[in-house]
Order: sequence, then structure tokens, then C-alpha cells
Amino acid sequence: MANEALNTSRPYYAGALTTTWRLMGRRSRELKVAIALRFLQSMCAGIPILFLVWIVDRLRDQTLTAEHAWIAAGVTVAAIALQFAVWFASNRIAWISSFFATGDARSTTLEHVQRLPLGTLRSRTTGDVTATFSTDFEMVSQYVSEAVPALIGAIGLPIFVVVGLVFIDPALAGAVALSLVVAGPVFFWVNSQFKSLALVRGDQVAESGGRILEYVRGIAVARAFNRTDDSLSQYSQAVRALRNINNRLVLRLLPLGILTVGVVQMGVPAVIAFVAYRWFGGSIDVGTALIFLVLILRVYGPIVALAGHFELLRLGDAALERIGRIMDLEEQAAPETPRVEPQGHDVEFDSVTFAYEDTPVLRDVSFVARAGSTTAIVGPSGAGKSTVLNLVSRFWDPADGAVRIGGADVRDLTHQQLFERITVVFQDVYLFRTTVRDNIAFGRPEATDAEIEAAARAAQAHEFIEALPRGYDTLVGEGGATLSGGERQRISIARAVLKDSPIVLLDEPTSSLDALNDQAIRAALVALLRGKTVLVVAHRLPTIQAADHILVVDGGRIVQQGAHEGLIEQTGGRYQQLWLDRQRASDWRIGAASAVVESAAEPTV
Amino acid sequence: MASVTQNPSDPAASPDGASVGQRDDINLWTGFRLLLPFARYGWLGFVAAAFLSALAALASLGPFWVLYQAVDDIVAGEASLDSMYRYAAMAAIFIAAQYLLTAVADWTSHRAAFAVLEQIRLRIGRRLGQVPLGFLTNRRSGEVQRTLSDDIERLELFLAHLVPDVVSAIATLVFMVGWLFIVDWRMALVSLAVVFISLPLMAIGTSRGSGKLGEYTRSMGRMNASIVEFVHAMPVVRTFNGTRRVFGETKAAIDDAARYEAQWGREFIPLFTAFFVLVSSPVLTILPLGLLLWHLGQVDTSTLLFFFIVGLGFTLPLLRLLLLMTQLAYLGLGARLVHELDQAHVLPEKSDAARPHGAGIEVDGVTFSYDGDEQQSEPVLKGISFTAEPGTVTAVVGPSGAGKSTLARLIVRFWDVDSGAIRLGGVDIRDVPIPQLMDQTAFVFQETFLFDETVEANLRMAKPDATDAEVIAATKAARAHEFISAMPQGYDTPVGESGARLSGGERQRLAVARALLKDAPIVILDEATAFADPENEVALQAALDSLVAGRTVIVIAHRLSTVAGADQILVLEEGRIVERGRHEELLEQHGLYDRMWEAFSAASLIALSGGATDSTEALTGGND
Repeated sequence: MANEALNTSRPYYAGALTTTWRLMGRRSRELKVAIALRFLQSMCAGIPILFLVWIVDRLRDQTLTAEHAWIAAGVTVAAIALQFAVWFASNRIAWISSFFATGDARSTTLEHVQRLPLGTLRSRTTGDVTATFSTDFEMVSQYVSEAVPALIGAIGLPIFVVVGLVFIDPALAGAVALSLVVAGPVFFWVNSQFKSLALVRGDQVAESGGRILEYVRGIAVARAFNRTDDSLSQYSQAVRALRNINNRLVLRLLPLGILTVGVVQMGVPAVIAFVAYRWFGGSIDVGTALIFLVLILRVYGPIVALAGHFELLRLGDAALERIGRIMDLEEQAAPETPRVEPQGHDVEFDSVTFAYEDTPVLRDVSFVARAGSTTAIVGPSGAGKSTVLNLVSRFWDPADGAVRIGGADVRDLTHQQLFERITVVFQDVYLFRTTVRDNIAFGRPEATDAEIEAAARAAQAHEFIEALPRGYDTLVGEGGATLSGGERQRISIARAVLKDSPIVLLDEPTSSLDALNDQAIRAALVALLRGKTVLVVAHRLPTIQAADHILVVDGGRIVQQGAHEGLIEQTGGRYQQLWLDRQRASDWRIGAASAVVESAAEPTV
Repeated sequence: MASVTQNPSDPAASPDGASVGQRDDINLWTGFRLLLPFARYGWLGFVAAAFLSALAALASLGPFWVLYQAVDDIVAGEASLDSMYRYAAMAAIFIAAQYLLTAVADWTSHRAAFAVLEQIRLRIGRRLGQVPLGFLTNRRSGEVQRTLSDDIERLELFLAHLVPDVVSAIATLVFMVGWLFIVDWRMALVSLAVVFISLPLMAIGTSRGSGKLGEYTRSMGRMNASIVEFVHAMPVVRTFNGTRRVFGETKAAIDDAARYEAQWGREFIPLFTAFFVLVSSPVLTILPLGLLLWHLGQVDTSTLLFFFIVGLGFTLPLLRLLLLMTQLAYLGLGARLVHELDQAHVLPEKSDAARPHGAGIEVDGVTFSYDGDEQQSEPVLKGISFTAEPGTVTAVVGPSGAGKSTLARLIVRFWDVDSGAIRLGGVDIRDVPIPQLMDQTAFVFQETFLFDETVEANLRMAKPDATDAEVIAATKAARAHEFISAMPQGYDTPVGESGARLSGGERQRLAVARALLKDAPIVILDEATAFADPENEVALQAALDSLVAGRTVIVIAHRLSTVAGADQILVLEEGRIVERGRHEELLEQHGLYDRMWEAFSAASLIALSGGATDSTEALTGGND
């Protein structure tokens, strides 16, 4: 049942109403009951009004007695009590079921997010995803529990009254309904106009909005180059342009905004005139005329008041659409129970082709990384080096070909099977808001203290952990110890060491840390890699040179592969050139003057 | 503006300092107070909108009056076809007038709101040009961007509708209630009875639910935090096979929140419903009590009819007002940023200042802390003194967090020092007009910002009157000419938003070309090569060689080998210079630098490999 979204190929969002039912899931029946009750409540509100009319008629023919008054009072009180009971039941059911349904929908959506390829998740701003979980679901909850029932409640009374009027005088009832009937298409037309104007506005606003934001992003540079005045005047122009766009558009929006309610309200004079015409024409009696005149405002009032809820309806609809956008992201299929058992830890790429959003990244890549060996991936930036690692860990799946571990396609492995075998060393460290110990033991909750400590020692982390106020029990993050970037990195390496999986995927850190931290982290990584099957995107000379196998990737293809000794011999090859460039870069000293640069311009091997 | 009010140190010491600490709690009232000054840019519009809305409210009572008259005529037996048609025509006129007035009121208030928002945006923009550059850290810049786009957009909706909606709701309510009282005060009290009963109900409901509401809000907070963590941690969670466990925890938090919400709802719903039933049913008191008074001869038939028709509708504007109240929270949006920017310390600027003589830099006993800006109050730099002779290279090295970048940024006045002085060519930089200071210095940091314009426009901002030959000379020296020429439209190629169409190394080379074109005698480099991909590094290094030649250079680098040739190396640790000298001298001191160099040398030999390769093996194979 949780897989509903997986199995449907049609988009999750299919109009506000359908999507609401889908999101409410098994609780949609409760919501339907609540809506029916709300409709009933709204009709109950009509009962005192009918008695009011009756009383008015008695007043006219002067037959009102005390008994009538007592009846009217009793009925009114009873009707309102009934209204309260029904409304209460409706609210209770709508609110509670929408609270729980929203919670369930949150879980379902989260479950869906959890099945997305990690690459998909990374390519979206996580802020968007998390904002949907907090704001959009909150909005939907309000929409379901308040706005939808309010909408129904507003039309219940008018429908009840109009239907009642049909029995009294069909022609007049038709006249009352006329303005509502006309208002319907007008409402939809206005809405479509609104939507297209909103698009126009969106484009125009995005233009000047973009320029406004660029001012903020570029202000440091503008100031550094003494261009603040220019920049500010461009900014001011953009701000002014925005105001002009808005002024122009509001002129077109406003008449539309009042059109629907205006049409509804115009039913009042129409009915007065028609009542007069029929009454003085002798088609209806005076009592009927009174009934229509007293009821007319009760019919249109709630509909006009509904305008205040449109905003909420629109917001709820937009929130549903954003939730739909997340639900429509394609999940990554993985078996729930083991189907195949990989034999050994060879990592094999078999004619792998991969494109990211129509841009080819890897083309027909084939290689084998033997168990226990180190394979270095080198090549210019944008060549597709990290994509190779990302395909092993299933951040993405190949468009064509297969990635195999121990002979088994990674797509045939359960997540459990796959990640028992591989460890990914991430550049950006994530630590949980818990103790240092729990962070290290995350991959193996049953690990003993001795094992945890050993992993920390191997990752060069034991010393600084011991120096923390509560040692391994120190909390990390908010309200806990503030750790330096290097320390956080070492804790994450300890986590990987403890996990001890046979294959390690690593993007070699470039030197963005100070020398002392850098050395410690490299030492920690060496401990992690020892004896493992390693795939490393290599940046530094020793790593490249020490690799058992080197893949030279350029333009999404493997252009050379082999060991350093063989590759370096191939004069004019891509590898030789890379190697020389790197060597030159690592020998560079700032201010060592142009002389050195000139002489190095034509390098000799 | 020209003279300096001698307010040397930090913003917290300024007279407004008291309010700096409370930046987080801008409440409704403060928000209102902060935005009020801006209202003058649209006050005429707002006043007109208020007036027109009140008129519209008056017109909206017209149909009630017409219907009452018609019914009254009928009951009194005085109705005629003509009078009825007249009533219909009047109702039509009232309704047309109401919506016309509403539209004009909306239009006026929208125009006024747009004018106000323009002024808010302009104010923010102008202040951004004046606050210390240090104010615009990445985090802050994101916040400013969000405010300028999203927050102000929402404020716009609110401001544009606030005046007409609130005025019309209040005016309708006041007119109606007033009218009821004028016609018959006893019946008016009878009508209002439902309000008197229901308001306390709402108050009781709110206070009864408040305890549960707190629990619910807290559980919501836990749930949101848990979801954020779940999404952020997903890569780690999945690759460590922790999905089921962590998902279970998050799901529990979600279920908890729903349960607490339901608990709150169960408390709140009865009274909430009672309130709405009562407020929307004035008939409850009007019908029975009206009949009673009529029976007792206290009110006549006509009055009774009036309350049956007009009295029944008076609570609608009240409900509308309640709906509007919930939107008042938007008022604080945008106000916070305006407030914060106003509080931000503006660098005092002298215009009658001396020109620096030469390109020497003298840092004299500088102490600095981010007081009132960031979380720490401990000084980041303590008593730093050094001199960078013109045309020499000064390297600043040290562990992360030692204050290296802060020091570099102080030289270009991202902030002002707390004590001590930084002198350029013998002149205190606070005495140098900022444009002149900027002319003297060029800086290249880790990341480079490019405007969403063409390559050439980005280059020319350094020197608008540069000849084509000068531009090309600069890009050639910065090793950028080649890749620029290879792009589809050459120098006319747009670089994309924030230079997205270029690689990190290419962006940095454009930044160097820009700095070359500016031709400032002082160059500051902070980890300029850190984000360049290794393949671009050689080219970027050559570009930097051109940039630093013959200039006074301050350079920060983690890769110690790159600065080993510097004329002077300053070793920073915890905000102090602990060692200084040339590379060889420092090695001989066997202090921090020596240890760092050892670590650096060792680290650069460590191969990341699964084999039993130890560093010595890599060493022998390494550099021959």
C-alpha cells in the first residue's frame, strides 16, 4: 500500500480534489462524512430562517399569536443546538482525520523520499524537500480540515434555500439561482485569467527579481571595484521596474477580482424586480413575495463571504502540487529480499553509459577493479570521474550497461547487501546530533566499546575524543561540543573504519585543510583503506602512482588504463600530460617570479 | 557625512547597542513600528483607500436597507409596483457603487503598497552598499536574498490588502451596529448578545487549549527537526544501512506530532465550534427576544422586521475580521532585515583624507573581534603587528581558525579593527576614502563572483575605459584568453548566473584577469587555488604569477610549498603571530611552522591506497 506512488505512472497531482482524496488515503471516507455533515449543518442554519419567514408572513396578515412565538423560539433554539451538534461532529471528524491523514501522508512521502536515488535527492536543494514537509503539509492539513469544509458549508444553505424555494415558486427560484448559475462560468473564466496573468507576472517579476538578487550577490565585488554606484543604480532601476510591472498588472487583476462576487450580488436587485413583477402580475401572493425578499440575502451572503477562503484554497492547491512534484520523482527499485549472492568483491563496469538530464556523462565505460586492489580514476574536471563512484553506490543507475559487484548487478542487490559491501567517504561530513560513540557506531550499533575505540584510534580521532569534556559520551552538534572540520571528518572516518566493508569509494580530498589536519586525515584514510578494494578519484601524485590500476577518463570515456609505469611511457598520451601538469602544479611557489614560469613553459620529461 | 564621529570600536558600544541583542524577537508591534516610517511613501494612497473602503462599507449596507424598506412596505400594505422597481434599481446602484469603490480602494492601496515596498527595497539596497563587507557573510547574504525576494513578496500581499480589508470589515461592523442602535437600542443589545456570549467562549477555548497547544507545537518542532535530519543524513544513513532504524525514529516523531495535534484539537474543537455557531446565528436571540419585546409592545412591527433583515447580517464582518487577524503575522516580515541593517555599524568614512604613499602595508597592534556580529566575543586577532614592504610577498599560515582570513579581510576593511591600526603607504586605512582604498587593493578569494553578464562586461568592471588590447593583454596574462576565445561567442559569451557556465578554475582565472586589469599595487590572495580543479591549476598558477609580479602580496595558503618562497611568513595560532621569518629560518626554529612543514611533507607523500604501500614506498617512487 505504501508503494502506491511507485506503481502508478500517472502524476500524483491530478487537480485539487483528486489529490486530496489520494493524500487522505484510507481516511478520505471520514473526510467525506465530515463534509456531508458540514453540508447538513449549513442546511440546519436554514431552519430558523424558514421560521423567520413564517413569522414575517404572520406579521403581515396579523395572525401572530404568543403560541407562534413560542414555537418559533423553540424551533430556533433546537435548530441551533442541532446545528452545533452536527458542526461539532463535522469539525471533530474533519480535524482529527486530517491531522492523522497528514501525518500518514508525511510518512508515506518520507518513505518515498527514502527510496529515491541519492543522486536525485542531492540534485534538489534539501531545503525545498524539508520545506515541503513542514510548510506544505501544514498548509494541506489546514486546507483539508478548514477550507474544504468551509467551502461546502457556504454552499449548503444557498442550495437548501433554493431547493426549498422551488416548491414555493419555481420561476422565482430560477431567478434566485440565475445569478449563481451565471457566476459559475464567470468564476472559472476569472480564475483562468488570473492564472495566465500570474504567469505573465511571474516572468516579468523573475526578470527584475533576478537583477535585484544579483545586486546582493555581487555587492562585495562591486565594492571591490568601486562600482557600487553603478550597481546600486541598476538595482534601483530593477526595483522601480518591479513596481511599474506590479502597478500595471494590478490594474488588470482588480476588475477580475470583484467580478464574480459582483455578479452574485446583482441577483438581489434582479430578484426584487422579478418578485414585484410576479406579485403585481398576480402570479404569486404577497406571502411568497415576502419569503423571497427575506431569504435573498441569506442565499448570497455566504457565497460572497466565501471570497475570504479563496486564498487558503489557492495556497492549499499549490501545496498539493509541490507535494506531487516530490511524489512524482522516480523511485529506485531494489529487491527487498536477497535474490543473488555476490561472489567476491570485484567491481565491474560493463559497457556503462550514463547521462544526467540528457547530458551524456559516461559513454561505454568498461573496466574491472579486482578485489583487494586499488583503482585510481584520473582525468580533467567534468570528465565523469565521480560519476563512476556514484554508479557503484547507486547514487544513480546507468542508462545502459551494468555495474556489478562480485558478478551481481548492483540493481539486483538489496540495499542491505550493497551497503554491507561498500563504504562511501563523503566530502561533506554528516554527524548526527547524538554522542560521539553513537556516531561512530552508527553503521554497527552492536559494536563493543573496545571496537569503537579501536576504530577511533585508527582514524586518528581517539586522542581528541578523550580530550572532550565527556569523552565518547560527548554530544555532537547543537548544544554539544563544537568540533573542527578536521575532527568531524575523522569521526566520520572512524564510523567507516568500524563498518569495515570490503569495498571503499573515495574522492581524494584536495588540500583545503591546514597541514596538521590534512596529515591526520590522510593517515586516517590510509587506515580505512588498508586491505580493501579501493576506487579512488585521485588528485595527488603518490595516490595515483601507488594505484594498482589507473583509469584515465576524458569526455566520459576511458581513454587509457593500466599501471603508472606503463602509462607514463606512452609519450603524448593523456596520462603523461596529466602527470606532468600535476607535478608542475605541486612544485609551484608563489612569487617565485616569472623566470621560473618561463623556463617551465616547455617542460622536459 | 564627511566628518567622522569618533566611534572607534564595535557596534555593540554604539548608542543603539541595546537593541542589537534582541534581533530574533521582532513581534507584531515592533514590526508595525519599524514599517511605519515607510508608510509615508504611500500614506496618501492608504488614507484614500481607507476612505474609499469606508464608503464601500456604507454602500454595502444599501441592499439591506432596500430589502428592509420593501418588506416594511409590504407588511404595512403600502407597496406598489413602481416603488418596488425603484427599490430594485437602488439596490443595483448600491451594489455597483460598493464594488466600484472597493476596486478603486484596492487599486489605490496596491499602488501605495508597491511604493512602500519599493522604498523598503531601496533602503535595504542602499544600506548594503554602506555596511562593512564583513556583514555580508555567505549566510547573511542568503538571508538578505530570501528577504528581498520571498519575505517582501509576502509582505506585499499583506500590505496591499490590509488597509481596505480591515477598514471595510471594521467600518461595516461599526456602521451596522451603530445603525442597529439608532433604530432600537434594546433590540441592538439583543442582537449583540450572541457576541457577548461567544467571545468569552473563544477565550476559554484558547486558554484551555494552550497547554496542549504548547505540547503540540513542541512535538511539531521535534518532528520537523527529525525530518530535516533524516533528509540531510540520507546518504550516510543509507550507505550505513541505517535506513530502517532512522526512518522508524522519524516516523515516530511524525506520529507523535499527529497525536498531540489531535489531543489539542479534541480540547479546542467544542468551544471553537460553539463560538462559530453562536457568532453566525444572531437569529438565536433576535427571533425569540424580538417577538417577546414585540408582544410586550416595546417594539413595533417595522422595527422587528428591520432586525430580522439587517440584524441577522451584522456578524459577517466580524468573522471576516477574525480571518484577517491570523494574517497579521506577516507584518514582521522584511522588518527584521531593515532593522538589522539599520543597526549595522556603518564604516565611518573621511573624504578629506591623505593619499597613501607607496604600497607598503603596516599592521600595528591590531586586535579584532566579531562582537555583536557572530557568536564569539573572544578576539579573533590579538595584537598583530607586521610590515609588508612594497613589492614583497607576505604569507600567512597556521591551523584552521587561527584568524588568517580575518586578517586578510581587515586590510580591505571588511570590518574595522577594534584597536591598533592598519596603514597603507603610511596612512591609516580608516583615513583613506573607500574608493581609493579599493583602487589600491585587489583580492582573489576562494570563490569568485561573476555577474550574469558577458565575459567582457565582467572584466571591464575593473576598468570601464580599458581598450580591447588591454583587456586581451590581461586575459592572456591570466591564461584566460584561450578558453574565452574557445567559447561560442568569445568575449561576448554570457557567463550564466554566478558564472555557472564556467569551471571553478576558469572563474578564478577571470577573477585574476579582472584584478590584473585593475592594476592595484596591493594584492590579497586567500586560498585562491583551493577550489580550482587540478587540471586548471597549472594555468591558474601561471595567472597568479602574472598578478603578483612587482606587487605587494598578502597570501594565505594551506599548501605550504606554495608559499615557501615568500619574503616573509607569518605563522598565526589562535589569533597571535607565534613565529615569523623566511622558510629556512622558520624551519630552524623547530616550532609550529616546522611541525606543519613536517606534516605537510609527510602528508604529500601518503598514498591513499588499499595496498600495504606505506609512505616510504611512495617516497622512493615519487619525485624523480
